[in-house]
Order: sequence, then structure tokens, then C-alpha cells
Amino acid sequence: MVKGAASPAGSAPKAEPGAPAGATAPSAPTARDAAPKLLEVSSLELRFGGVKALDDVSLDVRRGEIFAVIGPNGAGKTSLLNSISGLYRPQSGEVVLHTEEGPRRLSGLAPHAIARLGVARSFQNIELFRHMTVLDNLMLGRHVHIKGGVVRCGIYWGAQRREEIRHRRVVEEVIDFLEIQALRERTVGTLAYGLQKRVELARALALEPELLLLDEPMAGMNVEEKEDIARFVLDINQERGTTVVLIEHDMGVVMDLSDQIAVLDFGRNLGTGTPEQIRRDPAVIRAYLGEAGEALIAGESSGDAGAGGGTAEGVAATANAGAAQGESASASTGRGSDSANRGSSDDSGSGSGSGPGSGSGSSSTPGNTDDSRAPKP
Amino acid sequence: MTPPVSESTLPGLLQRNAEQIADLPALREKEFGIWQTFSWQQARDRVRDFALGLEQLGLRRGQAIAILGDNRPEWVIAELAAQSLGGVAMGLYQDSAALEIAHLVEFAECEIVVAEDQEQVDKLLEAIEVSEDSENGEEAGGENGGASPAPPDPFAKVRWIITFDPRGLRDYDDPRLLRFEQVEERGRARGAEGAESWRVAVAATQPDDVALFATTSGTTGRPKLAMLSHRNLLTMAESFHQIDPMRRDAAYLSFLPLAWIGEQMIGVACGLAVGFAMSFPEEPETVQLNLREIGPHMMFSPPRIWENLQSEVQVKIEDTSRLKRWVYERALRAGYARADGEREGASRGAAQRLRDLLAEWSCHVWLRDHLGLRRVERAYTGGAALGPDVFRFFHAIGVNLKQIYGQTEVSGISVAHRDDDIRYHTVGVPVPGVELKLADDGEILARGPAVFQGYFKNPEATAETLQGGWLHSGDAGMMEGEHLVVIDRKKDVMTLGDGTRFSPQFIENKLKFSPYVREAVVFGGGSLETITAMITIDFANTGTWAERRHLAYTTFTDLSQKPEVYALVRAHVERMNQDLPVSARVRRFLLLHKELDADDEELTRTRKVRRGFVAERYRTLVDGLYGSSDRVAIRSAITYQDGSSAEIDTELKIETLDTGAGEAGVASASGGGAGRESA
Repeated sequence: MVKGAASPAGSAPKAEPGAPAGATAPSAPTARDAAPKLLEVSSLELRFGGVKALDDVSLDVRRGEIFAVIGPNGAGKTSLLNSISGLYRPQSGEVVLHTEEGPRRLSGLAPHAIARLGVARSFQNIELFRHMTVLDNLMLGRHVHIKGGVVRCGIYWGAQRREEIRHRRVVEEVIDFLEIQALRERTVGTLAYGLQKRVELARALALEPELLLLDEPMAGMNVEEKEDIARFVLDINQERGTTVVLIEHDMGVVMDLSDQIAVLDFGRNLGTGTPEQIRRDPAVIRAYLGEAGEALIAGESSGDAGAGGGTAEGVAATANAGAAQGESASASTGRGSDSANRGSSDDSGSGSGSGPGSGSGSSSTPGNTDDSRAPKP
Repeated sequence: MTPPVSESTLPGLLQRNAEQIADLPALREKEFGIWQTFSWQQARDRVRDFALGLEQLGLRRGQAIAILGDNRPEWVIAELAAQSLGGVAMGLYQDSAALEIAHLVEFAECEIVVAEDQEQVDKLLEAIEVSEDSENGEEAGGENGGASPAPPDPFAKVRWIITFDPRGLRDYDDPRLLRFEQVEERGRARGAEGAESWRVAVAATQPDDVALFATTSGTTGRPKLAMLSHRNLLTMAESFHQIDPMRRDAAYLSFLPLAWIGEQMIGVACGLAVGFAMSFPEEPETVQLNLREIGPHMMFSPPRIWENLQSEVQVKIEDTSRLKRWVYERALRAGYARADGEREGASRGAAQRLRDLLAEWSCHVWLRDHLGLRRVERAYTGGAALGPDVFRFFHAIGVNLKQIYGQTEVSGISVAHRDDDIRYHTVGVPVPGVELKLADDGEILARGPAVFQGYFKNPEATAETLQGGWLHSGDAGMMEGEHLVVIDRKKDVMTLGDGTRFSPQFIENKLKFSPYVREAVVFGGGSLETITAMITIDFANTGTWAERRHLAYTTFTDLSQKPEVYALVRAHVERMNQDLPVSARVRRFLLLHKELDADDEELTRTRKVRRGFVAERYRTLVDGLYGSSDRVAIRSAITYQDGSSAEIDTELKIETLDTGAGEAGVASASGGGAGRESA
């Protein structure tokens, strides 16, 4: 692990003039405390040789919320997800899932056992069977729930047949939910990247999880695709009632979607709080948003204020944070998507796109800093 | 159809079908990967429940409801429910912008709007906000809408918005929102008493009551609302059934906007009259897949669909293996020979028949299968002119494609090809019950029981269109024996420098035959000495072409201005010019930096080019085409969907071709519209 290599954090911390005092560890009792816990991570420590990937990380995720984990590259976000889903075995600390039947310790369980308890995940780099159809991939996603063995499934009669039909129904509901009806019979390897990411999400969802772990579901997508996925994540959370733990770099998305955010840096949890609290937390700003972020938080202006300093990522994050600072942050993602889509498809026609507010649109380089399009006031 | 269908009404026929063929399928929809079927009886019950619900919500006889959404069973159920109460259904194109919707909903005085999903609800709510804001300001009275005084408080009128896809609407708390099932539930709660009162309501609905407000495509100005009665629609369905008998077990996929008269005519009116089922695609993106699954026996589509299918074939063949391409090319050549032979009535020898058979089974059957046309007995194109080349292509691969000509105002069809009498350049022979004549200036006039009741709240326009009981189409035409030939919109027909009359549409269709050309607008005639064209490339096809040649591009504009793309289009234009009389050849053309878009008002919602508007909007480009420079700068305003706009500067290249006209310009003075010539 190359720690901190890509961190945009400014190395010289300076006192920010008029920053509102943020709470590093919010402790005031809120409505959130009343909600039952679903996932409890306490004092997790994960080492690879001499490198501490996770260092005393504790957090709890409440039932029904969207919980984001942010942090610079190499901060330990994926390690955290891997530790929860059983791919990594942390040296110490505990992960407990509060299921309907009572608390279950996940530490030490195999990944498939954890999956059966209702924890599904997607991967940052798509992990699908490239040569199988979308439908087969999704049916496979339900594997842990399928009871029949080779012989029973092979005969496909009676109870087994009913079981398969039931599973197919669940899969079809997911297909409908994520609007991938047109892709059912397509081979995954032939799909565009953005669609593969969506299928990856569908596969996780086919498990009918209580807890969904998403590792950068929007990485490498253009604005339009991001808006789609953001809307799906919101819908999954609100209409299916699934609790979501989300790793994401795009600060605009994170601020828009999340109920709670935890910030990791060098394997340590710098703080947990609501988007508002995180945005104002000086330690977080310094570690993650960089100096550009500080300038922004200092209240100078939104969007272009940070353009002078910081790396590309810092700038992008700034612009997004600025965007999210607008009033109705959480509501705007779902509803705004249409006009944004429209906008970017127009851009493809407009070419050089020199006009203000035309953004980079659907250029052929998806991914990096394409979120510079700030919503118009 | 034993008792005359035209003496009934659409809901009356539903009632009849629910009694006579209760268990046969009426509506089919693919949901969760499986085709779900509603029988006529089930369809009737749903219509009844929804109608009774609408009644409770306050729908009155003669009042219109607006329906906005993709093709779904609920669309048709809502339509028939409103009609069963003596109400009127107004279909809106699902891609309409908020302001268009606002204008139409307000103008039609709808109190109830059925909107499919979040997207449509958002547009409605936005439209409502806009109109509430501008309430005190001046009313945007369009030239057509200006006929009647605008109501003072337009959107206070919309009292209910009924949705049938609840996805994403969970947090909406607008008190006007209702779910489709809630309305049905209200109706169902009325039980037997309700069923009886619905029966009475259906019986009270008369054939001459208005059934539909059809928004006319409006290549000029704002859309008007044509009022079509049950009788209008059903006599047309009857006539159409006479010339092309439809089967009760026919498969039919309804994938074109139900706001379009063609879909209403074939899917709803003919479906009810004959009793065949309407199937609805799963999603707009799955139409191609669903076509294959359903295997329709008939299909009625505007030229755009046929053009797309044909370019898709051309493009995919380019990508396939050499052997397949070889087979395709041989088979297509044989197909062309057969189709041309059939048209000329020549008899086929044994050797030719063998070749036909080989071509059919080595290629055409599979090709049709992939296009979902394997079972098609009759395919129709209508709504605009289809280029003869596309026509010929479909006949070559064994699709019985026929032209239909008509307007919304005659319920869609007044002239059609007969099965064994298809000429690519004509639109066919008048259907029974339609009387056709040409005015002195060549305008096509029609009369008959299918002619509409007039435009809603627009007596001036009605009087203008219906002079002396004849429907004035605005199209210029001529007769060729029994067959009608449509030249173009009357005002678009151009007279060239040498006095030849010519149809720009004819040249445009030839240009569009290339898979790399999406739209073309041709200028010329009058004071303009030469013919020029403004062309938009087909982004997907040209993009694929560029990728195959390792030609890097970023945006539409970038791609359209590549010299290689200019060369590609130029080659096509040169080939096309060979087929045209010298004076009608395209002399200069440019590739437009953006696609023409209905949201920019450059196209109608049925995707016809609004020529006058385009010419006005791109005046600088047209001037450039008639200038001497080979470049022209354009600053254009782009309107985003959220209403904001941006200005963009671009420079476009202009290509000049040698038309062989020289200075002398040997005129092909054929006098009456060279648009008749075909390759």
C-alpha cells in the first residue's frame, strides 16, 4: 500500500480564520441515536507486515441509513470493507452485525457465511463473470440462498423448480429496479463500463441484503452515469430499506447522499458525523479536502475559489463541496438528474463547450475531474 | 365485424369484446421478464373501475383528461375510461418539454392528468410552478392559442395527477398526486351499483362524441388540437380493415407514442374493432428485443423507424465476417432483382425462382427475424415521405412495406397502397369512404366520414382547413392514374432557376439513405440559383465508422467537422447527384455542428424537420452556403432542459461539388416536379 501518495492534503496546516467551530466527535444526542444499530465495528486493527492498514477504527452504522466512508487513497477504506465482509482477517477488534435474531459476530466468519447473514458488497474493480450473461450473473448472486445441490438442481422438478422460479423473481425485481431489462441476455464482457458497474450493483442487490457495502460504485463514471447510480443508491436505501455503507471519492455525491460520514486517514478514523459536521471539521478539511477546501470553508466563495491551489482532485472535491453547500443538498440528486443528463447530451453537440456552465460534458475521457459542472444557482 | 363498427364507440366495442371474446387477450405487457396478459374481460373491468374512479374525481361528459407517458396498458385503460364517461382523451408526447405540456393542458382545460412516472410528474409540477409564477404577467398567447381568451388562473384547474409508476415519488407530498390503483380502488368500491351506472354511461356515449384531442404534428407553429369523434376513428378502422383484413389473432406491438394518430388508429381503434391484442414493450430500450419476441403481423411506423432499421443493417453488415457479407450482398442483389421484377409484373423463370429461394433462405429470412419482421404480413410507413431507396430495400428482403398517406385530421389514413399495386414513389389509392381531389393549385383535398370535427377552441383554423367541407391538407400532389403522388408541403415545393418544380423532401430522403446521414435540410428554389444542403451526421453510425478507422474524436461537433467525415458524406452526395437532374443536384453542403432536436423546436415531436424555423435559425449558415467562402462561423444558442441557455461559437466547413451544371445548366425541364424519378 502506498500510503498517502495521492493525498491532496496540504502539508502546512494553518489556522482558518472564520471557520465555524466543528465538532470532531459529535456527541450531542440526536434522532439517530434512537435508531437501532445494524453494524458495529470496534477497535479494528489490520496490519500487513509493518503497515497498519486499519488502526483502532470504530464506528457504528444504524439501520436504514446511508453511511459513507471517505478518505484519501490508501486511507484504508477498502480494507475496512474487506474486514467487514470477511475477505481480510483483522488482527484485533470486532465486527458485530445486529440481525433480527440478535447480534452476530462477523469476525472470523467466512465471506459466504457473512453473505448469508445479509451482507452483500460490490467491488471497486468489477468482479463479475465476464463471459456469462447478466441474468446468469445475477442468479449466481443468489447462490448462497439456493438450497438444492447439483443433483436436485439438475433434475429441476417439484420443489426445486419452485425454488428457482422464486429466485428468478427476486432477480427480475432487481432487474426492474435498476432498469437493466434490455441487458438480461447480454454477455457482461460486452457491456460498457458504466453498465457493468450497474450490473455489479444488481448482483449485490440480488442477494437481498440488509447491509449493502459499495466500494466506489461511481468510480470512473461520467456525470450522467454518476447521477443515475446516485439515484439508484437513494432508491435502494429508501424504497427497499437497505442500509448502505458506501465508499466514494466524489464529495458532491457523498455530501448529497449520506446520512453519516466517517473519515479515514492513514488507517485512523478522523471523525464521524453528518455531512454538515464533516464539512466543518478542521481536521477533516486539512486531511482530505486540502487547503483549497479550507479556503472554501472559510467562506470566501463557492466553486472557483479553490481553483488556485491543490491538486486536481482537491479542486474537484472543492467544487463539489461547494455545490453541496447549496440548500437542499440531499433532495437535489434524484430530481436533478434529468436536466443534468439533458445538459450533457447537449454538450456533445456543442463541441468546444466554451460557454460558462457547459462543463466538459460527455468527453471521451470519463472519470477524473468531470464533476466541475456546478449546478447553476 | 358484423354490426357496423362505426355505429359504436371505442368503449362500446370494449364492452362488446368483453362479452363476445371475453377470454381472448386484449392487452399484454412484459413485466419481470414475463409477458402478462389481460383478457378483454379483465381489460373491461379495469377500464370500468378506473372510469368510476374518474367520475368520483369529478370528470364530466365532454371534458378532457391529458395522458402523458410511455406505452403501457394503463395508458389505454385511462383513455378508454375517460371516453366511456363521454370524456375526451388527449395524449401528450412523452418527451415534450414542461412548457409545451403546460400550454396543452391549459388549453384543453384538463382537470385530470394521468402521468406515468416521476419524470413526467416533475415536468408537470414544474409547468404548474411556471404558470403560477407568470400568472400575473402576460400570457404567452400563441398565434393559434390566441383565438380564445386565456383563463385567468390556468393551473388552478389541474386538480388531480394520477401516476402509475410510483418509483421515486415516495417523498412527493403534492396533494394532487394519486396513484392509478387508488383511483381503480375507488371505482371498485362502488360494486354492482357502479357497474350498472358505468354500463349506462357507456350506452350514453354517442358515435359523434369527441373521443380524442390529437395534437397535430405542427411543422408550423404551435400544435393544434384536432377533435376526432368515435365515428371518425371507427369508420377509418372499418375502411382500413376492408382493404387489408386484419386477423383477430394478430400480434401487434405498440411502441410508437400513443399520442400519435397512427398508433391510435392501428393499435386502439383497429385493435378494438377487430379484437386483436395490443402488446406493450417492457421498456423503450427493449423494443427491438420485444419485436422479436412478439413477432408482429403488422407494423405501422413513421419513416424514421424504417430508416433506422435499414441503417442498422447496413452498419452491422460492415462489421460482420466476410463470408456473411458476401452472402448478404448476393442475396440482396437477388432480392432487388425480384422486387423490381414484381413491380414491373414480369414473370419469373425457373432459374430466377431458384435464386430467389436461395436468397430467401440463406439471408432474408434470418435478416427479417433479427429485425422482428419475420411474421409481418403488412408493414406500413406513414407520417412523412419515405425515400424510394429504403422502400426498395425492404421489398428486396421480403417485407411487404406499403405507404400510407393521411393527416391527423382524417384519422390518419386517406390513401394507401394496395397489396399487389405498390409503387415506391406514390402513396397509393384512396381508401374506401375517402373522396379525394386536387385543388387548382395542386393542393390535396379530402372529404369523408373520417374527417375531423374541427380544432378545439380554434374556429378560424378550422374554417381555414375545412373550406367547403373539404379538408385542405397543405400538401401539393398530383395524380398518376389512380395513384396519388405527394410532392411535398405546398409551401415547400421549390421552383428552380430553370422553372422546374422540385421537392426538397425528395432530395432530403435521398441524402438520408446513407446510414451516416441523420437529417438533411435542402435549400434552393426561388431566388436561390443552386441547391444546397445542411446535413447532420448520424452520431452513432458515423462514430462507429470513425472508430473502425482509428479516427479519434471527442464530441459530435468534432466528429462532424473531421475532413474524413466530410469526404465520406461528399462521396454519398456525389453518388446521389448522379441520379438527379442536373439542375436539382446539390451544389454545396455543410455538416451541422449539432443534431436537430425537438427540444430546440427544430423538429416536431414526430421528428419532422421544421424547415422554416431551421432556415430562420441558421440564417447565417444558409447565407454561407450561398456565399463564396468555404467556411462559415456560427454562434448558436443552446437551450438546456432546465430553461437556461448558453452560446457557442463554431466554424463549419462548406464543401462544394461539381454538379456538371457549368454555367449553361442544361435544364431537364420536365415541368412538373422531378420528385417522381426514382433510381
